Amino acid sequence: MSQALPISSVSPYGDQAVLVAFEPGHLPDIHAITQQMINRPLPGLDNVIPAVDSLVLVFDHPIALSDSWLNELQAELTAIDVPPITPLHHQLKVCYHPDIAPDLNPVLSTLKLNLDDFINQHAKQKLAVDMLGFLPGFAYLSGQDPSLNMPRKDTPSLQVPAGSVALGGQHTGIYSLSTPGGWHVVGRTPTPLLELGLERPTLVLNPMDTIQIEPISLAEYDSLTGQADP
Amino acid sequence: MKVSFSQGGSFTTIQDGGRFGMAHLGFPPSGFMDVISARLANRLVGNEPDEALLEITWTGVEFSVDVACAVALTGAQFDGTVNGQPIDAYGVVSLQAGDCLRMGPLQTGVRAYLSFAGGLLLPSVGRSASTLTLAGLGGLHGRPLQAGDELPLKQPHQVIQRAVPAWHRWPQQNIHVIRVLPGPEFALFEPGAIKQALSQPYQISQDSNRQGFRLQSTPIQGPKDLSMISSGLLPGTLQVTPDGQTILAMQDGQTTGGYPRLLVVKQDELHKLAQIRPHQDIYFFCER
Repeated sequence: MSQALPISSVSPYGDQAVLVAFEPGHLPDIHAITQQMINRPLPGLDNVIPAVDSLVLVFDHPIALSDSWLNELQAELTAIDVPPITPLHHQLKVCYHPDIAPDLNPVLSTLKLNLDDFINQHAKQKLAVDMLGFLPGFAYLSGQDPSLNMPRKDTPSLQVPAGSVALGGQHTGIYSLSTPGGWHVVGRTPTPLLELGLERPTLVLNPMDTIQIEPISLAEYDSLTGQADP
Repeated sequence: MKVSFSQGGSFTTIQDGGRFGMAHLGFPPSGFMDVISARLANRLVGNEPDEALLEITWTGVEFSVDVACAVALTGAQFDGTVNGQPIDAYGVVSLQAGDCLRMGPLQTGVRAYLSFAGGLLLPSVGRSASTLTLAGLGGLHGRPLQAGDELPLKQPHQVIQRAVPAWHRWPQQNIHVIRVLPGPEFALFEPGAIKQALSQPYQISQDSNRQGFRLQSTPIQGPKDLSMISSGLLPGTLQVTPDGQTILAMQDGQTTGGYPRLLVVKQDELHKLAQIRPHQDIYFFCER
């Protein structure tokens, strides 16, 4: 059954892309359309960039951004019969320890929490992957208690290790790869989150997936990462 | 059949046509910054236009080959020598086994392209060999080349000697006009801010790389009471930060951004930005 998609506007973004804006609260639809577009791309479609309330379609050639073309695209998008995506639930082991989470102690003093209370509060949350973006495999998680909100760092770190769990704004973020980053690292998971493939990388965390954090000790973290890397 | 580097240059990466269909996983397109020069380098030696080659930034490389093969140099212009003898280092250069090609200081532009006839034998990530140094992936171990590196050649061979035509050489100029279109948040800026943005010069700061160029200009007043939710970001997008400065996203730029997108460079003009030096003036000409 197809149903009308909650598209509020379709507008040009430069000469080779369009920005599709959605009415608020339709993240599952945006990710379902993205998946559909990736599997059955429009001619010359290079990239699809989903976000919380928008979708950018990037083409490999200039497109005629006439009103009629945009209307056609809107009609095409609206007519897409999108099967809902089936999110997974992950039990994710995370170690909260200053040895592997350099920003943990500053965050505790900013939030005025002791370590046990912080772990308790952060790990009990029902987190969900809103989107992947910024850099490869970076997962934006929603569902964070506003009392744990942290502003971005003034100076980003040059290298944040893969598996880092960090706080930024109203989100928790997870770094699948070692990249620079401006969020406060409070923990790290020993679970490898991204496998680079020749054709396409495989990610453990995908949009709409839900996450329950299982806090682990540094000893357990070390033994798990030791096993992973003999 | 390999290339051995005795100098890697200050920032030399392997790039190809780019890594597509993965922006929804957070992968930027990567690929050639100056696509016109890169494709020319490939065509001169008979490669596919998007074959992987070397993008050489600011300082040249020095390498030797253990097999006879042709290479081509385009983009930024260097003085070059083969076994110490000066050559016309712009166009096809034929090398014999054991020859050493050395690139001297850069004279015009910022990025030179070095292609190898028959291509390089490289692993791929997401169907692309492009290096994304930020994430340490692609290319050679995900990092810039360094002295001591070796790259295997796929099918080295000689080609007909061809030079780059004069009209295709990057001209010496200190003022650049780049054609742009209004960005998604264009209409949220005050008319005065838009007028200023489209009439003032910008300069590329030293704090600029494949991810993006920080531009220097008189600060631009951003939209008032703007609360933006992060949204897709393309190379060539001019974003205005809260302090009124601007960042131009480039090939390795993040896939989503939260700053208002004032202008978008027309995609067939992007290659020009790759060769503009700091202290040269850029003007944006809006076509709508």
